[in-house]
Amino acid sequence: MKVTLEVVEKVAQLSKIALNEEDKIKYSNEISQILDYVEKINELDTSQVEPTAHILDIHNVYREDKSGRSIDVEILMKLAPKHKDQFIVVPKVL
Amino acid sequence: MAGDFETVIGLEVHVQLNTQSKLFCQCSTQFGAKPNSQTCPICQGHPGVLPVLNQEALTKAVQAGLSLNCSINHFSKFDRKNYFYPDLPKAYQISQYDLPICKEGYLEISIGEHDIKKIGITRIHMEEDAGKLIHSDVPSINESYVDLNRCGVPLLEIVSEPDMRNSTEAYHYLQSLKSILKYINVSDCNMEEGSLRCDANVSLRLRGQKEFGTKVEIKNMNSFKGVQKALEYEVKRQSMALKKGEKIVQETRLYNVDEDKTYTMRSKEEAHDYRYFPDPDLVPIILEEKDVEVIRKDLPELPKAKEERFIKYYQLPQEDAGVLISSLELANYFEMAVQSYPNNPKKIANWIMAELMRVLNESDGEISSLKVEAKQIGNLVKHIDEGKISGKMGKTIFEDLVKEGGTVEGIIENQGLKLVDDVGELEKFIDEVISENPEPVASFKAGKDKAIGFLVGQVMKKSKGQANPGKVNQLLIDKLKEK
Repeated sequence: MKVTLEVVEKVAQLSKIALNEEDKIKYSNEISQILDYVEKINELDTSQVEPTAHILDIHNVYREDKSGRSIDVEILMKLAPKHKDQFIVVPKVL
Repeated sequence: MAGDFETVIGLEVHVQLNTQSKLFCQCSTQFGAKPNSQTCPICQGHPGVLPVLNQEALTKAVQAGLSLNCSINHFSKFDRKNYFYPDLPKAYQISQYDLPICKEGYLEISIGEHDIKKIGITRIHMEEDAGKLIHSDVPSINESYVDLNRCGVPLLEIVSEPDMRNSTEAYHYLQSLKSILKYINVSDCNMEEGSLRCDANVSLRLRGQKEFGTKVEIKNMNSFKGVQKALEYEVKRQSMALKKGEKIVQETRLYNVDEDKTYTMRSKEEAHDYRYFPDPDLVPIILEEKDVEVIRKDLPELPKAKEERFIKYYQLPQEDAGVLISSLELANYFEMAVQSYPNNPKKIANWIMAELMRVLNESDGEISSLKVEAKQIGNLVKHIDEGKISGKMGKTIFEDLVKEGGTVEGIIENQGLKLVDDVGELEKFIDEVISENPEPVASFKAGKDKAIGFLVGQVMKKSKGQANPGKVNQLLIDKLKEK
């Protein structure tokens, strides 16, 4: 399966990754190869197989609805590139 | 109205579940806390953390589904919905894609006087809320501010079928949905605090046409009335465009409440591509029939059942019952009033609907902030029924109860409100009324008993509402018969 440059550009855009022309060609080839490899799995007949929702055979793991301590705001603020009055500052989005 | 066109509306409603803690971590969901004070590595989206489902949120989601006549999916799972935005630190929202917790339900709304319409509910799924973005009013400031307190708060998304045909039906749908969700205590449904949010899909088609027209999504409506007005505007806009032969563009429009118009939202360069996939951190939910039954048994009485009970048990007209059950608080208030005086539920209903609801409309509308206790409404009606006070005095006492609280007895005592029982005093008024109203007197004597009501009314007027109406009635009859 050939992954076109347009597809690579779209995936890069959705992932917010900047790629140069060289990268795009490289990834177009690499992703195509990966998909070809994965394509092998499609040779299996899975019409009678339930889709896997989770790889472990466990379900219904819950926690009780109890509120506990959150972490100190200062710790979060230290992680943010920029902060002001307890808010995380980001470039303007509207 | 849209003339030759038929309007088609579907609503997407998000409600915040009123749990103590977030959907996948133990951070508090308390509204109004200081920015970023209710976060942890899980809701901040750090790598390597393990989200675990809040069981109460699941229970509430199932309760909502059962109350909205949905079937509960016995196998359900969470998926990641991927997109970049600063209010979403993980860059994906944990939501449910192809296996939502509830599906295929409906909600009944009243249309016209006696007709009921079923509005289909496509699906209900659980998801986590995103953080809150704050923008500066100053245009030169090139930054926005993020508060992650809301990030990870449990939400239900309730998607309706495109079954509504006008903005009023949409309004009733929202009212009814809010009423049910508040009854079962799964959400506060407070649009101002953002615990209920609504987006609308609206399209027009020629009457009789089967296919839907191109739909437009409307966002940014922040009250039920706002939803109704935004839809009215949008229907008008689309029908004018179609009449001019223009094509409707599939887009998202924002409602501006001040201008009462919708505007095209700046479209993102790319159509959404959320690349959903199962969340590997969360395990599936399997609910057996017996698990669902346990939740069903614990459901409180729903509005419709309550309405039927009010009609049957208290002998109320349907209209009254419908008004009283419109909110759980009002229904409880009514029942408390009736409990204190069970002899006349209809009259108690009248007082609540006429007087109490007027007061509620004039104030913030919250029954919990009223000074007048429910049992005093029962007490007031009791005093009137027993002839201790007139209806007019009742209104004065009611106003005092609203302002000061207290008891009916206390106010009667303080204000010296007592009915005039003194025969001499009453006869003075009666004689005047008889001589001033020869015609009604004659017609009473001619056997028209109805005339007595008018004469009693005149006496009450002269006494400024202080005369004991029962006594006046008796004295009048005696007097007219002896002459």
